[in-house]
Amino acid sequence: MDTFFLGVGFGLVTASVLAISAVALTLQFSVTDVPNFSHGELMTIGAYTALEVQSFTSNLLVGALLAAASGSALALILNLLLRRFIRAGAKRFVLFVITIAYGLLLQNVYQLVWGVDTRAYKLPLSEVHHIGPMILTGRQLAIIAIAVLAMLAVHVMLRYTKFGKAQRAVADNKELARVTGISVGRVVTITWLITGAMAGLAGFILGMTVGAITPTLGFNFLLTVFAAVIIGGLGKPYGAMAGALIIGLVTEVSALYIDPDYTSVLAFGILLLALAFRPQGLVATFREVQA
Amino acid sequence: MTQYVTSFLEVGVVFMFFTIGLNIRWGWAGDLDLSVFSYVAVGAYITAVFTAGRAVPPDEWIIGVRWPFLVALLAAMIVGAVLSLLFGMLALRRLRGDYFAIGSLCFTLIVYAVISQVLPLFDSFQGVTGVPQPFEGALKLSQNGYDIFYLVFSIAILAVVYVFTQHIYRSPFGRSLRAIRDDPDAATAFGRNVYVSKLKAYVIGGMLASLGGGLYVGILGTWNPFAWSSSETFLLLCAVLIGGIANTKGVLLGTFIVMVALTEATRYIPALPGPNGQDDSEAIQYIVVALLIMAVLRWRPQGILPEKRDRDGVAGSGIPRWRPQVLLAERRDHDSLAESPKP
Repeated sequence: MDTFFLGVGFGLVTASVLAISAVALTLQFSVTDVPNFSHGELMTIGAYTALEVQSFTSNLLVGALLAAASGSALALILNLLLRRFIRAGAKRFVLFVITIAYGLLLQNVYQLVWGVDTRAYKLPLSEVHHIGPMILTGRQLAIIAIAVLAMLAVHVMLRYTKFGKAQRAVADNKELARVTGISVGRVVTITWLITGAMAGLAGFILGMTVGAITPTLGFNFLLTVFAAVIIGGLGKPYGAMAGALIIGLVTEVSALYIDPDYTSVLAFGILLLALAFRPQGLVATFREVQA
Repeated sequence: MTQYVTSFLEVGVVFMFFTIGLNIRWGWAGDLDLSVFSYVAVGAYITAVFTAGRAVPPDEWIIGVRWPFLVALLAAMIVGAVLSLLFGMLALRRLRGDYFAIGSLCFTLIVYAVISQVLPLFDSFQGVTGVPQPFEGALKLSQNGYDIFYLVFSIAILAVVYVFTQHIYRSPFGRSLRAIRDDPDAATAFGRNVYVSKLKAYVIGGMLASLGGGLYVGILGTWNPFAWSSSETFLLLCAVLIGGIANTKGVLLGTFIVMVALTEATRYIPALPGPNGQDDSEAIQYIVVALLIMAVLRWRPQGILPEKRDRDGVAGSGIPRWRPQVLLAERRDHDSLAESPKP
């Protein structure tokens, strides 16, 4: 039983990383309508930026902020790139292929700059806390706290700010949003900025929990993120939070009972089944139930 | 020099099988498939275990017989088709577009995990070694002569495949496939079964990719899961886009262009290790591929040789005018649609 709760503890940490990344991906998809295949690379840049920051300061907060900023920067570049294609009247599948190419480009640029070798952060030892039956280090608790704060921030933004309202309007119907005087282009750009920052931050935390930073760090994690996003329903931020929790717990708890090499297979299997039988996500929105 | 050119062409011809397979799935049926290379890998594996003979411990793999190469190729095609059928039945029923692409990538990673974890079946990362050169025993050629022979052999099979695919393209099945791609609702209204047609195209594509994989292992002589990463799929994607999606001739041309571009991209870069003390040529190749994909989609999304358009302006209904019997069949179709009895 103790090992089970140990797994739950790890699961919560994984779910935290997943939740930040998945909510960013799904929010960005719902507002910009682009399925972003280079999301993993936005995470990787965060991990490498924080690594570079470590060479002149050991302050993790500075690393986290700059990681988020680097993710934002690459997301904005992608937005500029995509905008040219959208203006030329490209179909959605073309935009999808563009994000694939952008991801491929970034991944190999990382390899040129930082090499293929595994790198890791220099982290101070972190004291162990017993919380109920779970054993977590202080750093893991901090990761969970950051994720909870990020989720709360997204919730407040979507529900209680004018910008969040505009985001929901754009996600719902671009034309109607434009008619009501919302600057769709600006909402899309700021959404890329915010979600890119979240991806960069998630990458930094991922590098910390995995402990091995490689050019394919984010890409290898991408399908797990997609699994969380699609279980929750593509384009539904609250669904993605639930999906992240499910995937995080399932992969980490199952790692105790089956060969750890198969946990990713389990996540991909869940994703495949979710895609095949419930691509609209586990939680249907009110409108879908009515339809 | 001859040897360099032949081995270059050999690989090029083999890659054309992969791109033709991808083109049938993506260009004709309309669903971007990121799993082509897993069918290539499976085809190569099956061919290897059917020709390499029994595994010497501690290596282990299944079957392990020394059957003729052509039989092994046939087995590879059958296994590729069965695997395509299984995944297609799961995925094609509901998934389209981006969802299908994500699902196919998922499938690739599951195949990759299984290959690298299930030891008795795939011998993990040791792979299958000692695959004999096809027909070597019967021919007794010099290495150079053998390379040329194998190139001619591959081109002969490619020619058969080309004629076969062109035949499908012009057949009623090919036409309904394109109709489904361009407007699934209209095609359904005319009694076409979207799911079954897409599934058929998916299986044919998988079969051809596996066939190519079998031919590839004939060149390589070994099979190793490391060599079949999903990023190779992006090369194929690039080749199909550059040549002209849905046009088989264009796809062949695109494959050739990508092959040349890749080798030339790194030729003029000195073979010195980069700042990280490693060989960067592969990373540079992929950067070139990524930029090529973006450039083609920006300035010529239809590719160098675009799909032909018919008089009605619909892409893909183009039928060569110099084939009267095909033209007649085409006319009958049009007549039945356009000249239905008027009230």
